[in-house]
Amino acid sequence: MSKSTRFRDEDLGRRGFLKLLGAVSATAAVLPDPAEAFDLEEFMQKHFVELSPEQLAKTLARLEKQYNEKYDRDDFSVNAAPPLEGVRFAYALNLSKCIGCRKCVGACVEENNQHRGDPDKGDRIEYIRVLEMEKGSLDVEKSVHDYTHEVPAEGKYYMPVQCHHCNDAPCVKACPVEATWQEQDGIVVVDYNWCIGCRYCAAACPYWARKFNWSEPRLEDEDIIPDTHYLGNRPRYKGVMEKCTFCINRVRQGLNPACHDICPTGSRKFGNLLDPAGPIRQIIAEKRVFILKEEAGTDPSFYYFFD
Amino acid sequence: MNRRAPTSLLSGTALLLSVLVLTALPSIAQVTSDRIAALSDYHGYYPCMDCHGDQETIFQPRILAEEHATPLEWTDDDGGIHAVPYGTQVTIAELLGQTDRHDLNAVNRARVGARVGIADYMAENDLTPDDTVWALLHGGGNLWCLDCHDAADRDKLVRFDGQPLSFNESHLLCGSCHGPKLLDWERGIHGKTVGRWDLRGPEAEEAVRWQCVECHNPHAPAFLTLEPEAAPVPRVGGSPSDHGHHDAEHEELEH
Amino acid sequence: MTGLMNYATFVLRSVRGMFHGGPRYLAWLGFLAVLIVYGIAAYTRQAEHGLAVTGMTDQVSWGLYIANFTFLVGVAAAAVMMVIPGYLYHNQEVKGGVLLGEMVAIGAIVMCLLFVVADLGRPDRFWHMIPYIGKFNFPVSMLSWDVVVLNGYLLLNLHVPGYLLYKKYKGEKPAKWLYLPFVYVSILWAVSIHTVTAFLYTGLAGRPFWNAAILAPRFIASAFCAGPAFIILILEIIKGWTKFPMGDRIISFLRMVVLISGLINIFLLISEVFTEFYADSAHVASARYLFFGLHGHNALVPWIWTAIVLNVTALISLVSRKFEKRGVILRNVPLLMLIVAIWIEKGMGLVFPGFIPSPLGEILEYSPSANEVAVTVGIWGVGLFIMTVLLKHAVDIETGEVHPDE
Repeated sequence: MSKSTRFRDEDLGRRGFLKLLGAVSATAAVLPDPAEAFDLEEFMQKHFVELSPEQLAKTLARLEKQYNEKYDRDDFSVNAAPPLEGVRFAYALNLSKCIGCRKCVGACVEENNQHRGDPDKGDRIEYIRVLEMEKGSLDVEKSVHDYTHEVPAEGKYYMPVQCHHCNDAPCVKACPVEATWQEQDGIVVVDYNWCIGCRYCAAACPYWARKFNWSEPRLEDEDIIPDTHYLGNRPRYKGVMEKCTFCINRVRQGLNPACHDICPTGSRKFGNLLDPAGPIRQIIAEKRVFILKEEAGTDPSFYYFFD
Repeated sequence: MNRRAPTSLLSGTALLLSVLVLTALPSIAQVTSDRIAALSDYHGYYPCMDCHGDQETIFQPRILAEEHATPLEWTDDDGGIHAVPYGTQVTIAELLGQTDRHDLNAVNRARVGARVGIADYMAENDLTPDDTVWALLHGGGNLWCLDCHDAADRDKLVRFDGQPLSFNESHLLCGSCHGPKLLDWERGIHGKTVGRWDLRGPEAEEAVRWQCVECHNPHAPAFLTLEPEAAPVPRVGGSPSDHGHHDAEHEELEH
Repeated sequence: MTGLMNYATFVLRSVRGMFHGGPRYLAWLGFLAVLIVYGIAAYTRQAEHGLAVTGMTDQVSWGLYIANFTFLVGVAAAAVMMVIPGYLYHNQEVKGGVLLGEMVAIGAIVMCLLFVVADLGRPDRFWHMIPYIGKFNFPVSMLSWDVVVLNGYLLLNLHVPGYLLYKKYKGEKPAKWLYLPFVYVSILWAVSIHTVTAFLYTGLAGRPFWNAAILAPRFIASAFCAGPAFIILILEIIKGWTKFPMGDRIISFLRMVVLISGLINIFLLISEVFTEFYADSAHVASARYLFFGLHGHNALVPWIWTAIVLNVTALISLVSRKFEKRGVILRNVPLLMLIVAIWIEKGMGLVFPGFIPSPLGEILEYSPSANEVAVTVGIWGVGLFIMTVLLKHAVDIETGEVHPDE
């Protein structure tokens, strides 16, 4: 080969290349072994709504097997119960009755196989956040979240906030891969196997309802609920979003969400918005109902009322 | 027919009717006279509870009642705060001072303030103002045991018009004063309904609507404060919170 | 076949030229390589433990990565500032420097893409974004628009200088139809990448601090201030240390762009501050937190005021032409101040306060973790490395250092 570019005698070009090679080797030395075996089927799994019935059945079976292996059990079930016909779920919360006891928060954590957090810190994922509000004001900026005094306190009222399952959800619009969408029965769901963890939906939500798995979720054996729904309370993964699903596993079987049944004062009302005799329509007709942050224009399925 | 016949007929009918009224409905008469007598003699304190002090025997667990620890408080004219222990035991002195605890209208206040017969009651039982009696904390001192419990039949409740009610229909009794709340309860707006939202189909039986008395203690209905569950703990950035794994070099970045 | 062989030779020689240079040049590359390794090590730690190793929380769910991404989109967009006079107004002097600007843009865009990937919880699911194979929420999701425009801009900026440099290498005149239409498209495209990034923020009704029309114009103004400033610094280095033919007029022109954009940026800042604070409505909470602190939390206050002081001081010194005539340090320090000030504005001044207070009124302050800073530094290392070698490549071709055999 003829000479092309003229190099100086020291030929620092080669030295530079060797330096790079050294850097790459050093990098390879610090790379960890993959923690879990790579599952090609899981990697290639299509979006939930695009799975054929056979693919869905295979996926559910695969997930059950994976969960059983991971948590060393034999009783995991993952179902994909479809929405019920003629049903549109809605929630109404009586702010005159809520005493801020936070039992709903705990019941939700227990029902949904949620990450319990660092054992020393207890920073678990909680879908519901109870706000202690000043009487005479609806301004959430004046609210306190970490009260520990006895409730209800003088001059305060309590407002729990969770996913509002909006009909014009900003999170659904934001997601670049359509990993979150609203189902026919009004529940806004997340496909945990499709989410890429960009957290744009968390930025978009006016109700701070979306939570992220910053690390591998910690779930002890005694905390596990083995009957799960694909779009609901099945154990999640590191790096994906999650949020309240109105206990999709329960409500599609006609049961109430966990937060609803645990509330000691009966402040929480849940039902089918399309049923004129149901509690939600009654509340809207009889009580003074408002929507939190209605000006955000998200048309939620969650109502607050005083009575 | 002579002129005295219509008069005697009239008086005879009147006599018959009075006898019928007085004898044909004895229980109502008895209850009514009992209640009137009871009200005027014992208004403000309730000797029934000398024996029936434990009112908790039949009801479902009261979620809120379980956690009651601090006593109810009431404030007197001078702003002094007094404690009324839960369980409806008060000293006679406190009972007498309790006149303006609630929003009573003028008539009720007068009746309660009178405490008719309490001096006799104290004398009969050799009591001092520091001794305790049972007080009903429902209705602002307006109500007492036989307002709801049937004096003639202790297995029944009785409504304001004398209508006896079974304990399973106690909500009708509550609703006779708390009408709007009863309507809301029937619509599912007020109170607790657990189990199912879906009331179609045979599984609807699983839905349970809690009775009034399952949350509200009719003898002392006011709810007390309780300690909330744990406050939320924010995830402190910088340390991986999985399986308790800590990384010392990132501890300094906690807020 | 011969064409392909020629191109392969061109690539090989270019790459060889990239890693060949004086001791300062190679030391610089070595330093960047160390930063890159440091960043990769930190990123593997993040990949293993999850984003819990960062300082981000559910309250402040975007942090240093997205802040840098936002800043660098602006820098990338600024390459167009040289394209407009170079190609639209056929300013020959500027034309030569355009290539260098585009190399900077490539480095900046690569950094943007890397910052986004570093920020993802599941980067292994990247293929979910590919249309038809995955599920691409275009045109509803603004992030999907960002993916399209950023990748498109990258391709444009790879094609135009790639083609021109190859033609220069061969000593041939480039065919106008193969690059000029792309140049004109890139002018619009450059504005679009930064506007789309702004729309990412402004479209969120739940974040009143961002949900303001002024955001997009402010993005453009600050981008055209920091970006050309960055490019000027690069040009100064190239002018001082290489034989690349470059006149003075291009730098003067860019300084004018920096000054005017900077003044517009300040005006928009004043407009924003007045609108927020005059009515003192509930929506002012984030702005109050940023400028004055809120309920005792004031971590960002020193940052934003430093940025404002740097901004104003730098612009005042730019107004005076005397500074330009002075030495290298005096005329370039204001530019560095502007870059730092606008970097602070985009990060601490825009991204973080949008999250504080949270939509439910909670204040939880954010500070990046050491791991997060390490990954950021590593990505900057990658970007600067790419910029350096591509600029070297451009210089090699223009000066004839790399040329075909005679």
